[in-house]
Amino acid sequence: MNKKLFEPPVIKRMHTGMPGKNGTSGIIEPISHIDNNSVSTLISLFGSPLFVLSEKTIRETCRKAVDTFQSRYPKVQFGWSYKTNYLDAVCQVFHQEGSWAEVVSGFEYDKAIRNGVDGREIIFNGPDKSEEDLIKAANNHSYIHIDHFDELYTLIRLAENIEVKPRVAIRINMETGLFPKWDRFGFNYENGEALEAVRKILASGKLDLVGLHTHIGTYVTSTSAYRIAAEKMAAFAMEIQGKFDKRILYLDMGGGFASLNTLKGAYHNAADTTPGFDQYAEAITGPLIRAGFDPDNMPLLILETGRALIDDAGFLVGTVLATKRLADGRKAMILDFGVNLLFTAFWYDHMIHPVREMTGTTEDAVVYGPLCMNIDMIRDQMKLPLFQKDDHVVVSRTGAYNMTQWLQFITLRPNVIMIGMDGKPNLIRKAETLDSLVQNEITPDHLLP
Amino acid sequence: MSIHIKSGLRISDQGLVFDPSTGESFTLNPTGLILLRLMIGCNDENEIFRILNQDYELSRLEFDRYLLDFLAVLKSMQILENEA
Repeated sequence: MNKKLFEPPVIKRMHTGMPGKNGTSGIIEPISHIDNNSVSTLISLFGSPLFVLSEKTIRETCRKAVDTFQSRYPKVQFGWSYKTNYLDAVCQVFHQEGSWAEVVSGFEYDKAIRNGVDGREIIFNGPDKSEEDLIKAANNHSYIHIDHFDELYTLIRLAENIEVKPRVAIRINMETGLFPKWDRFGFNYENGEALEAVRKILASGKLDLVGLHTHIGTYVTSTSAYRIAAEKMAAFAMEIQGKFDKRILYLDMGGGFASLNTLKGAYHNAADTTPGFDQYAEAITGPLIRAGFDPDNMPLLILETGRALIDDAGFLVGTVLATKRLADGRKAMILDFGVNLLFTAFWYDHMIHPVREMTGTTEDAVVYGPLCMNIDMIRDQMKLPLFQKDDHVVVSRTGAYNMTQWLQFITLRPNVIMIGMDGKPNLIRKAETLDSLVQNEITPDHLLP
Repeated sequence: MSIHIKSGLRISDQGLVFDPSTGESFTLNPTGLILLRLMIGCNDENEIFRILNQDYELSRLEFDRYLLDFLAVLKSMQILENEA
């Protein structure tokens, strides 16, 4: 006689009261395959934990975003936000899809050049550009987005000794109804600071003002904020043209589009609140179309959205190290990755999927990472299937920011693979080793063993 | 280890548990229901394992692990009266 499988026994306290608007269902669909590759096989080949990227999803998402904007506005250019994920393979996919590079540091700038991006197709943002960075970017005809007056005056001074006239834009912060207001970046629109910056640039005669840039926030779900920003950007471009007879060639609306990850503390699931590309596009392009620009010389619309283009393409695969019971009776699960690799766990309630089919029984649990640090918590509460030691798990929507903000802390960073358009896995970043980790360390002679 | 489940619990065939002394209710999954009923009728874990092992694919190590965890939850819910 075949014996039955014994599921771990579970008892749960019943809570009275009304269920939330999303009901009480906690069924989490398993993810057994990613782009037709068995997750278990990927782990046996590349180890656990493991980041998996889908080239197909990146390309499809990118094309959808580009098509959505191009169908509403005649001149659109995307710039791939390097800080969101600057693994070379990822950047190259975006560049192949026609994206320029949008960088925010000298290191990122050099990475874009190393990736073969023409300097004319690099947008250089951020408050930290060294004089060496500025000279290099100017000589490469890159678009330098000036963040503050100190940078503006530095660039005017440097331009004396640069043969080419640096191509610049100013970053503008403004009131769009969002809180917190991102006034730490750029020049303020409402108090006239941005206009003053334009006046200084034009009066210097040393810089070529070609564009205006704004970036109103991050994970912005309010499309009305983008509409307000687009209206103000268009109005400012028209004002500059009227006052100084200077035509603005492009308006860079930055990024900040939300992804389908749910923010911690959010009442609604992100699927119910995150606008689609079409809604963002409608909010941004409408005011530009109606602004009164010469129809034959509409400014180029640049977008630097990162998160919304890559989040869905990333998966973090891992293994259950242990399950345990906390002193107050709550279930806890320890995974072989934590906030060191899943940095976005600090602000998202990430979805953790089983790899194998599991019964519908769930239990409220806390999910911890492997670090010997109390902060290493991926979920403070989640209805989980009855995971057991050595089970595999998949965290979906991890493509944005994790492979740039991850920490080499206590453990080494793992392999990253990209499943290509042919369905085959390619190793795109090797796991760190003790040797690779210590290669930059120098031990003084008297401390050598 | 001997196991003492609180007396007076009302347990339905569907796995609903009512504790009349506190007014609290609980739900069990099917294996939780079987195990709790066995524990009420028998406080010897070796005997409980023997009975379960007749019908279920279950090693002694797995049983020990599950029992340890289940007892910890029962204790936190004040269903386990006494554990020695």
